[in-house]
Amino acid sequence: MLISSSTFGQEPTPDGIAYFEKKVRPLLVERCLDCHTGDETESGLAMDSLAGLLKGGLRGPAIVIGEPEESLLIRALRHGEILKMPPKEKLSASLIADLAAWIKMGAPWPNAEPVAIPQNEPGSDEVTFTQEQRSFWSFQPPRKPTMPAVKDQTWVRSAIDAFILRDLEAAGFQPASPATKRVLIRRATFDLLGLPPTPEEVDAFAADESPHAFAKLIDRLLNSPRYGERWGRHWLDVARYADSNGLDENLAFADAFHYRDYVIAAFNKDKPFDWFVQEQIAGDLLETAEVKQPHDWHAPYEGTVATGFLALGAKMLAEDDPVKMQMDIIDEQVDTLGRAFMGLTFGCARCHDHKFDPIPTADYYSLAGIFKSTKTMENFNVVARWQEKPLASAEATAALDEHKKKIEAKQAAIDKLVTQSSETVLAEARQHVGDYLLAAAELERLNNLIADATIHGENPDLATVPNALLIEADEFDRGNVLRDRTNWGKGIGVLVNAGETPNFAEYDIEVKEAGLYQLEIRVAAAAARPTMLFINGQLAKKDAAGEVTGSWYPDGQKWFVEGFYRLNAGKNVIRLEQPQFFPHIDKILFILASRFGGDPDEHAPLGDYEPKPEFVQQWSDYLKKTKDDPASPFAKWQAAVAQQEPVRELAAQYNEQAVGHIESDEPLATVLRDPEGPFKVSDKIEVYYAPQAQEQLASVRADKKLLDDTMPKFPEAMAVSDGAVEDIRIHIRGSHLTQGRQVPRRVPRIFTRHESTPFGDDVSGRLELARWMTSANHPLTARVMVNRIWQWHFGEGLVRSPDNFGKLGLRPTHPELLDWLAVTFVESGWSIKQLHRTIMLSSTYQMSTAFNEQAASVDPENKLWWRFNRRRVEAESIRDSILAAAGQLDLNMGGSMLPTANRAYVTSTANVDPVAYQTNRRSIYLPVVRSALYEVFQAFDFAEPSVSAGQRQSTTVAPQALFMMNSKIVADATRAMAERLLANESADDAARVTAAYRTAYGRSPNEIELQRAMKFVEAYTESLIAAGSASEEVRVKAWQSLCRVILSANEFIYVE
Amino acid sequence: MQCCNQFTPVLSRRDMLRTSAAGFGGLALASLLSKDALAAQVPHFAPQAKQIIFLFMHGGPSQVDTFDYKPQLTRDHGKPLPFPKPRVQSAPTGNLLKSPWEFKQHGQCGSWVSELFPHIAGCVDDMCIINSMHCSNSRHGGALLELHTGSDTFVRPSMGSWITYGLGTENEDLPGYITMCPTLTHGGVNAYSSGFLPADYHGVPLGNASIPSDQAKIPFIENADKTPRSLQRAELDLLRQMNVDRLQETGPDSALEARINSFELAFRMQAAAPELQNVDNEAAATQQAYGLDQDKTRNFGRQCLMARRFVERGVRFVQCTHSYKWDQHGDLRNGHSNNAMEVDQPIAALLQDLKARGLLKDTLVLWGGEFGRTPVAQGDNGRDHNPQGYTMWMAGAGVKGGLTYGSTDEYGYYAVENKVHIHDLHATILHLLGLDHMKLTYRYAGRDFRLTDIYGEVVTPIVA
Repeated sequence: MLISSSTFGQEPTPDGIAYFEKKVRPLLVERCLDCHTGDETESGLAMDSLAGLLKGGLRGPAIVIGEPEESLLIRALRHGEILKMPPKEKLSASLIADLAAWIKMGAPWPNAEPVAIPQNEPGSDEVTFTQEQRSFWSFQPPRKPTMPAVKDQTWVRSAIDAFILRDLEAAGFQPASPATKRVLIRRATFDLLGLPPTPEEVDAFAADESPHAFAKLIDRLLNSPRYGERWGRHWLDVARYADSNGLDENLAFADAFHYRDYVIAAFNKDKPFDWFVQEQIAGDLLETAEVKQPHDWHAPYEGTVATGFLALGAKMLAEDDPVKMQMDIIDEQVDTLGRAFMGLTFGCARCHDHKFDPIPTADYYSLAGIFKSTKTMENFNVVARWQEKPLASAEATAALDEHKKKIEAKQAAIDKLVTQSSETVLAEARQHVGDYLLAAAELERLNNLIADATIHGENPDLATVPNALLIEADEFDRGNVLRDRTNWGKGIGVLVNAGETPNFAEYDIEVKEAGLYQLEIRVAAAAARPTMLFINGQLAKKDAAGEVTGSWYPDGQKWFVEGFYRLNAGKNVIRLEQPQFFPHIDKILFILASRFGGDPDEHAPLGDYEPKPEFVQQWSDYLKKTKDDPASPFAKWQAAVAQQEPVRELAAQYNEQAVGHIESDEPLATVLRDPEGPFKVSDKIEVYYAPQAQEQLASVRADKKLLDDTMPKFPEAMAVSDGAVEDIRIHIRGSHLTQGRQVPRRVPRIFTRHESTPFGDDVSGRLELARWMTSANHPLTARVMVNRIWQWHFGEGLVRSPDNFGKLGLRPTHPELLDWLAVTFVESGWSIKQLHRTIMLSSTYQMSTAFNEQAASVDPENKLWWRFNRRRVEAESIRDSILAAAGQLDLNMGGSMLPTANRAYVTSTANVDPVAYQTNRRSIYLPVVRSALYEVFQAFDFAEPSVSAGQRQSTTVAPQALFMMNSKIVADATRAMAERLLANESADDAARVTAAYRTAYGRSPNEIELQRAMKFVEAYTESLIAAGSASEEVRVKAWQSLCRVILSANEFIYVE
Repeated sequence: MQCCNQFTPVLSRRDMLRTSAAGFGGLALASLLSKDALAAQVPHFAPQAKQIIFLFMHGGPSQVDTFDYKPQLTRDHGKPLPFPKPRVQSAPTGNLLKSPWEFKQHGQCGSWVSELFPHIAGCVDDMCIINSMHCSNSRHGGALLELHTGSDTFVRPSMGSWITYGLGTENEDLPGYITMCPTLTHGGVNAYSSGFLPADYHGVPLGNASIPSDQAKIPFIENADKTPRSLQRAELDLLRQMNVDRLQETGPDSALEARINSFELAFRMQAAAPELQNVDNEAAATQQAYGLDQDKTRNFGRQCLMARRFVERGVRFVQCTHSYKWDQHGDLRNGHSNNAMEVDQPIAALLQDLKARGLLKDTLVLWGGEFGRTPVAQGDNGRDHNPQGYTMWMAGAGVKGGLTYGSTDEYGYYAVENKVHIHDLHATILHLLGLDHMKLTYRYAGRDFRLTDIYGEVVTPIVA
């Protein structure tokens, strides 16, 4: 604390007071004090005294005396980034200036009281919880209750029944009668596998008189791989599993399926739930931690894959503020973790202390710190990139890292060689600035020459022109093309493609004089075929003979000036090359250009140095760009060239000026060194490297390519890892722009009842968090999970808000039963399959759905469990059951069915969802595309895959009926079902109806149903025949229609 | 009895079971039950609007080239912006860029509209132009979701879902919430999803952005096998018999009853929807007014005409989308000219048609994009995203026509006066529909959620 004595050391001057009264007080009264005075000040800021302003509110002091630019008040008035005050209407600039001036003059305020200014946000880390908060039911460790006494002992098969029956008896209700065996097997099979039982399975169970028949059935179902597909899907709702990001940038999570398959396997293997939880939070750390025991329920890399739970969330990947993006991702992780495992809404404490539960904002940021110290993303760019990790052994990963390092080292060697060699080329080039100026001028002159050049090829007296060399193109010395003299080259002889590409032709020519020659080519082309021209091995022009003349035939032949090139005295080699086919070239003409004006030597190099063509072009561009700049070091040069003065002397002066001063600050040297200037380096200059350097470079590049090609490839999974460990500051009102004090990473303090020990500086805290969550006496983890399992069996939980065990959540209807299940669950080694047996073998589970008017009127929501709840099956089961009834279900397991490449967009504005759902695989394997969910899922209340969802809706809306009536899926499946019924030629129609009923409902039709169905098929057939359809097709259609009715009926998709 | 049951999910299971028990033995009451979730609800207070049409301009039209006249921008063209640009921007921008289009005052009210919208300019006396809109996100995805759901961070129910949740539908044979040719990108279905609200309130899409509006259809509305209607009726009759028999066996069950009725509703919807979408029997003059006779305006014109037909039949929330075209980072002159031409005449025709039929007094029309554009240039002929200040307008039921509300700074960059955040807009829309945005809540995962989260103030000065 700091007493701001200096401020109050002197009384405000009368002028200051006058200013305050005139300009400041009225403004504060009129525009600020409505909200910022009295007992309930906004954000804790009182503006009715200087002390209030200096002390400030939640965001810290409002003013800093003498420093308007530092004052939050002024920033807020200017409607800055963080805060905009007054919120609805900005003050005029002059009013803001008045306040700024007042702060600047020392904030004179008459009769101000001295005030203690907190230097920082209050630093206390203390927290007090009320007795009520501490004793809230879900924060007490579960204790195994004693078994209650009930009257009807015969109904009690397990502790579950005792708890249920006690309350039923107290209410005066009878439990519903036991379900029939046919109902029971259908219920259990849908419940555990998500599929209907086959008629044979129903018959076998009905015939099994053993008292253990149902226990045997449960074991059979639990051992089916279909079980993991059903119960894994339940967990995927909680884990908000999806195969795409959704939200703003809907990129494919093509590697997410590893997590989905991991979850299915975990359920099938009955992975202990505590281990399952730990793996999803810190599996990567578990795999390397000291407890690396082999278990039959732990497969290699599962720890890494499991952390996909943290990585799979929907993210705003195109957020312009990277810090906000990261904090939003962390928030999603903290909130999902809280809801999924503990039934707590930590996310509510991001901006303020939780309004209902004892979660202070500080504790939220303690958890957030754990995930800030965890690496989920590779970067936070727009569009950001999430992290994926190879699924490989530690040794293989180490080898991969080693391999990558080798590649990096090779790349570094390449970069170094390139830099060094380029520098050598550059160092020499910089000594010859004069030569480049001359060469650039020459280039310019030649370009102008082409424009003005006369075509000599058409000169009938060409033969008399000295130093002119006319070449018949078809008389090449080497080449792979045809000489056509009868068709395209009728009467003249042209080059045409002979089938081998690239086309080429070479000419050995001799000229007497060295010098600059004008090159002309005579060519016919109906389409452009630009051809490369090499002179003595150097590429001279890349688009020679590239014009279109309108015809391939002799009538299309035309002369073109191609350019001006230097030839040596004596022998020269001319080469034409086209990646594909030549245009129809007839003649080539070289003619000494110095004969046609200009001094050929005016721009020749000053000495032996040959300017490099790449740099010459850059020099030419640079000079053009700076033509009008009087401050340019080349202004003098430009003037001389423009005046057509002799320039060789001047060029030499430039050379002298540069040599020895390259490292100076002079303008000329600066240009020569500018990496973006006329000596900008490109890969094209590699040909000027010393031969040794070139060889070395080629060799290192070959090494690197080999390494690239031999890099080990592993499947990858979305996964997190520990990052740089750091504690973070409280974000006031959730904004990263206003931060308060730093808080240590630790577990929420309501659970510890005393000071919660911070996690170490060397760990993120994920593993510590995970272990604490799965400790045997944790009050929430086991309770939340047994409640979920109960709900997935019965349709409702014992706590009917499965994702919220806080104050706003609902209270357990049977608290002792919940505790009994939680404790038993932990005692069994967190075995989910054991819990299924315990629940399903109870009389409670085996009740029928029989209606009881008396109970229904008192307890319509069946909170006392006086009967079993009838339920519609979920979206996946609807589709899977339809396919199963049609005999089409494909039982292959695992893998990705997303057709989109990883990180590619799965949807776009113009594209219909491209994902292919035309498959008979089980629904759990279909891609879950966020923001564009498969329409069948969407119609039948699939859980929103962007948020953790412990409960599904069960709505009844018209689009579901339209799906049954009209969709192609139902049409195809019912057709297949009809064809199967008809394929049995020995059966009569009655047998067919019976088979359909048994397949769909697990029972035979009664006589009325049988007659009605047969009559329907008959009438349907007659109408089709009356309408003129062919007879075999009519039969299939009629039976298909009956099958559609059977599968659409309530009995098919409701489980008793 | 409380005026609304927003604090419990729709009709509680308890209510349904009670009614259902009373009706056991026959299906006479079942049709009442099946209305459950979508039955017309009593609003919180007397509404000024019953229905809403949202004309969504995906991509972000420029305010300074359309409705926000900035002479100072023209004067200072080419100069640097004299105050700081926002801390967070989506792309680097340069100096001030004047609008290539002339502005004029129009109507009795004298509202400024640029020459991009000659037809809409004729309707300004019915329009309330809000020039001080602002939102929180500078990217399409975030801003689009914020506009449609109130959140640029999480998946939340869309405003159309909140509105149908609050008010139900007026037409049993049609969905309460229809969105035509919605985009699949920048949030996709989330922009019309019911989120954690029951699926009854999910927007029913007609096609998507890639499908021309004359081919856009309700999912599964056509039979895959082209089964004749009479045979389908026979199928449904058998189905009904089987389901009724089953119900006799099980005892009362509202869900089973509701499902029986859902097939009947589907059958009616199947008959009603194509008739509704078929605009051929509209008068030739009407079709022409909407621009159905011209290539440029045909597509959006049909959306507008269908919107009128939907509200005429009691659909609560209708959205038309002019798909992702307004994002002129470059080629502003061509792009905006072209876009404006595609929507100008159809929108004006819609406003006039609604007015002539007496529908405008009950229908709120909302126009706008996910954000506006910067008054500073991107390249030499483009503008970047700008969530700091932009224009949306409303017309019809409950809003003051001829009003221009709020303003941006002298260049049109930041909203400065009478600022209206998206949350405020949502609060105002709900208010016009007779819903208190503080009371329209839904409890999910133990928390009461609102469209406006913890924000939002009704902009009373624009309410008639």
